[in-house]
Amino acid sequence: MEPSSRSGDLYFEREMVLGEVSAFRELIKELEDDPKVFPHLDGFRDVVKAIHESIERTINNRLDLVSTAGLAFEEISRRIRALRALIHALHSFLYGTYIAMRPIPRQMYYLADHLLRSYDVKCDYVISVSDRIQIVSLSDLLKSYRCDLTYVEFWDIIKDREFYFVQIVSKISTPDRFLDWIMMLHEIGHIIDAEKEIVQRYIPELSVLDAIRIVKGDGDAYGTVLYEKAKKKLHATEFAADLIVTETYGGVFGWRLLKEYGHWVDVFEHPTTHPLTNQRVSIMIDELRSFLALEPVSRLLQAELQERGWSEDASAFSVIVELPQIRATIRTYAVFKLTMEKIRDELFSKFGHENSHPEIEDRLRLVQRNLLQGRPTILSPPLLYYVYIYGLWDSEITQQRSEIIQEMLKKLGMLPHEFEARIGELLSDCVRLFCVREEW
Amino acid sequence: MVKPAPLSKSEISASSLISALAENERIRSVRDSLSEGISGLRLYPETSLSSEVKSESKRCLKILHDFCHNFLVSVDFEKASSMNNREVMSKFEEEILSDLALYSGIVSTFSSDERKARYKDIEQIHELLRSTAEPKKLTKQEFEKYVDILENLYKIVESRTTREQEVTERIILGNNGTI
Repeated sequence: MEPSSRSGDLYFEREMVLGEVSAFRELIKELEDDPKVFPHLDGFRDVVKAIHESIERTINNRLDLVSTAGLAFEEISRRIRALRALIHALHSFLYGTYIAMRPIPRQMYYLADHLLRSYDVKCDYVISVSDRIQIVSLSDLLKSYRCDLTYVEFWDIIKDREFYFVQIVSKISTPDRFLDWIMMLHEIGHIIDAEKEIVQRYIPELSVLDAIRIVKGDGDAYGTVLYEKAKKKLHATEFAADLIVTETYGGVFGWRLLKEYGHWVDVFEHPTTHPLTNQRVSIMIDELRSFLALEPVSRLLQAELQERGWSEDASAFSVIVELPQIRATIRTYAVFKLTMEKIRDELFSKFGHENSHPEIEDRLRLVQRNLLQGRPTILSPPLLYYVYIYGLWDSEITQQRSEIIQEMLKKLGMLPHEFEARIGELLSDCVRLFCVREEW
Repeated sequence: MVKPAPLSKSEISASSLISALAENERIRSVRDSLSEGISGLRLYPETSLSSEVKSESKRCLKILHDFCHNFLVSVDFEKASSMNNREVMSKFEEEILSDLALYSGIVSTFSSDERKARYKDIEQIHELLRSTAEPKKLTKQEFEKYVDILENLYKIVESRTTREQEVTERIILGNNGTI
């Protein structure tokens, strides 16, 4: 090829890179024109702007450097294409997130924010719809594209910017699936763990991405010591997120996890990235029993385990020797713990001061009855969930609950799953009311 | 109203996105290290560089140095591992952790035999890069030999990881990669 046409090609490739950068301007414009007004959209717009500005500031200099005289044409072209691919991928990820975050109801953000506040964590995040329930940080995304190697000027500006992308599956994104939203809170638990550096403090050696690479890679390449360390890190991270939710929501997360995910087949799987479900639930049971004084809920989880032919397995305490310290640290950070005392205090501050045990039980039954009959109530989200599951460990209360539901099904002419969806919508509205009250 | 579907195991178990990010980082580490490294090496003998290009060249050579270092460590670690030498292994483990994505990329892209076969070549380049403060004089022959070695490695990486990278990126970007 002639030198002049080669330089023309390079000019064209360079223009293509700048074209990718200008696509950010369109995304920012869309975000600015979006009629939805809520803090998380603002936070998302800010991070998109920060990324765009950082690229704008540095891209020409980077393009000049990769086009330095003395380099072979193919190398220059290769590096320009790599830059273009990186900017394109970033834009696509952010644009995809923007589209996929639109169906998320505001109440879900209220719920997530409440858990973050319960641990005194302030951070920027958005929730979007995807094919799984998962979470990644902006820095993990950028690291995975090795910006530190190929676009170091941009990396130096943006690497400390904290932002999280929480993804949930479409089928639980609507208010009628409110009971499943607690699964999303487990992901928020990962944010809290990361922000407070809880697991990192006790098991500092590996990042989560590195640990995943080791357990999913060829074991021989790293040796058994690193493999075991990686597995320990990943499991500790999962236990931490479980405990963070358990501390604030009692056993509701464990109960829902078993209901939705407690299939007997899992017991035969080789656990790598996640601990076995019965091990996870066993740690939650121990926390409920030993520290939250929610003995009845722990019995409910035990019964759910037994129903699936599983037994309690607290062996994680001996495998992950740091686990007691991790959970003690979580406890110290938890501003809102769902203990019996907390339940009593909240109920009595709402309904009056008759400080006796039967009185609490009566109050809980009354609030539960009201909810099942379609009457909203303003309670903190953890107590709301607790009210919903209240008595599932007691045959008499369960019987009464069934009778109310039967009455309602008859009255409304609904099937049980339709009724559950209605209750989900009601509970999510209760969360909205609670958060409005908190804000005002 | 149809009964709502429960969550399936795949929807709630291991995160595909974070695994894809880990894979993406692994693939790009080795590919980008070689690409940047080759450019650094090309500028190595140039003396009339502006200060900005000089520091860019140094940066690229540092990336190449790390690549070579990890390449050599992968062979040495395997040797220590086969002899079950815990002391040596733990020394290497620390080095592996300094850029595990790059190490993983190297061991997953090149077989053990391939790495052993190129050990001496890479060792020479590694030796050359140890003293970037005072660059050694390279003959034209040596220079071209080193560039050839690295270009060959790059071609292997490209041929072995392109498809994998596409799949990984599709997971990260979902359907939006095509927008």
